[in-house]
This record gives sequence, C-alpha cells and structure tokens, in this order.
Amino acid sequence: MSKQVNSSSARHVMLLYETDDARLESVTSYITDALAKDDLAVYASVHADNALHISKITSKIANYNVNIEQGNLLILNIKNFYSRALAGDLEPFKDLKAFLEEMIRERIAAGKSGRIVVVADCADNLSKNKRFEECVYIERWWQDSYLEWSGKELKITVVCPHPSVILGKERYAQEKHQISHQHSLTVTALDR
Amino acid sequence: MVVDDDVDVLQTIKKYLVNNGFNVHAFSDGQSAYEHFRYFPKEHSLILTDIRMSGMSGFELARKANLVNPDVKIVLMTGFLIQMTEMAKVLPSIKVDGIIVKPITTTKLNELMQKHLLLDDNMEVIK
Repeated sequence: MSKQVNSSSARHVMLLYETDDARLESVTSYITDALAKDDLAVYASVHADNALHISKITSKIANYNVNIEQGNLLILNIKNFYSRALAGDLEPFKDLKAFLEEMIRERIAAGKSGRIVVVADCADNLSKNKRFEECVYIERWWQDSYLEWSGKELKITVVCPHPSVILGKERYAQEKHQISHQHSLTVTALDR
Repeated sequence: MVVDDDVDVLQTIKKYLVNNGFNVHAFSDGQSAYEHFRYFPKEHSLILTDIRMSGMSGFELARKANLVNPDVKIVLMTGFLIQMTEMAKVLPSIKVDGIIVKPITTTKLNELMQKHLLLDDNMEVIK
C-alpha cells in the first residue's frame, strides 16, 4: 500500500512505481500535498525540458501558475546531472543542496514554512538504464545529505522514484537492496 | 570581482578576464570578497561568484553586496540550470543579474561580459 510521507518528519524516500501513470500520480501527490501544507515543492527532473512530460505533471497540480508565481513550486532542469552522475561528479548535486538550504533560510526569514519536498529523478533514470553503481553512489549522497539535514533539523524530504519493472526482477534483487538501503523509507506507488 | 573557493577555477577565470583587458580582483572566500567590496563598493562593475563556498556563500555575498551598492551587477555560478526569473521567485531577497552554469567556458564568459558590461564582439566597451 502506498503511503504518503508527512513532510513534517522529513525522509529520504524510495518511491517504487510499476507504470509511468503510477509514477505520475504519486509524484504529483507529493507535490500537491506539500503545497497544501504551504511547503515548498521542487520537481527536479532530467526531463524538465520535455514539454509533454512537464505538462502531465503540471496539469495535475492545482493552481500551478499561482504556486510558481508565489515561489511555492519550482520545476528544475537537472538534465546535466545525469551525465555528471555517470562521471561520478557530485558537484551539481552539491550546488542543488546549497540552493535547497538557501531556500529554506529565505522562507523562514519571510515567515513561510521551512519545509521542502523535493522529487528528484536523476537516480530514477540511472536505474532505468541499469547504471546501478552510479545510482547507489548518488542515492548514498542523497542519504548522507538527508542525515546531515536531520542533524540540523532542516525539514527537507527527498523523494526518488525508481522503476520496479527493473528493480523488481529477481536478477536485480541485490541492486534493489543496495539502492533501498540508501533510503530512510521505501514506498510503492499505486495506480489510481 | 571573481569569487570562488576552487582556486584553479578562480585563477583560470581571472587570467582570462585580465588577458581580455579587465581589471579583476579575485577572492577565494566570500567573507574576504565582501570585506574588500565594503571598502571599495564603486570599484567593481560586476561580481561573479560561485554559490557554494565554505563560510559566506555566494548567495549571502550577493545579498550583502547589493545592500552596500545596489548598482553592482551580480552573476552567480551554479551547477544546475535555473532561469533568473525562477530564482527571483524562490529567493526574492537576492538581486541577481545573471546566472552562469558550470563548467565555465570562455564562450560563457564572453557572453557574460558582453551582456552585462555592454561590450561588443571585440570586447570593447560600446560607446
């Protein structure tokens, strides 16, 4: 059973999905739930320059334009992260981390919620392409970041979709375990 | 002014800009850059700063520099793609005149200088 994560208790979530529709439903649920709580929602995607992909996401977010204008929702293009991940280069990820932390500071200073929900799909694409070593490396970095944030009481939830059509296969059981081990929580997306 | 705690990047950018006729002050940390800027706020047309540095971040440097001299142009170096309009919405307290995505290339530096310092293709000031 799928369960949404309460952003007041930040997590690093592995979101397993069977189909693209299930992924879409779950991802947009995380985003809309965050917006409903006045949290900042960030969709950081390697597909952010794909108009069709983004339109599917945005069409399921109520008051999309208002939330963008008010700085409550950010669609971030992390296409360059994928090639950098293949090279074992975490520099853009570290810059993104610094940006997330700065946004929290800014929001708290402005009297807004200091919570962020980030859906990030670079590791998703590494899984899809069976680049498991690189995937574990990135997810380990996200987990280290999550633990650092937890220690500083920074409420940043990171949701990382992963395809169960790949990771659910018996021959990738070890890889699935290694990736899952780099998260604080694993949930399964539901088709609605 | 160029600010980056990666000394190799800092020196490479400085060298390129100096070779193209610019007067460049380079700092490897935000605090030192800010201390200098505070005393010489009119000396710099543009601050090019990395966002992620130990101590004072590029974000904080931009914020503080803008308070000292609102006319200085500020360009952030980031590792991810983001439009200025997007950044303005999520970080409204920081006035940013440009964003340059790493890795920094001479092409990007030329475009930056031409755009923000009104230079022509020969890197001469447009009169």
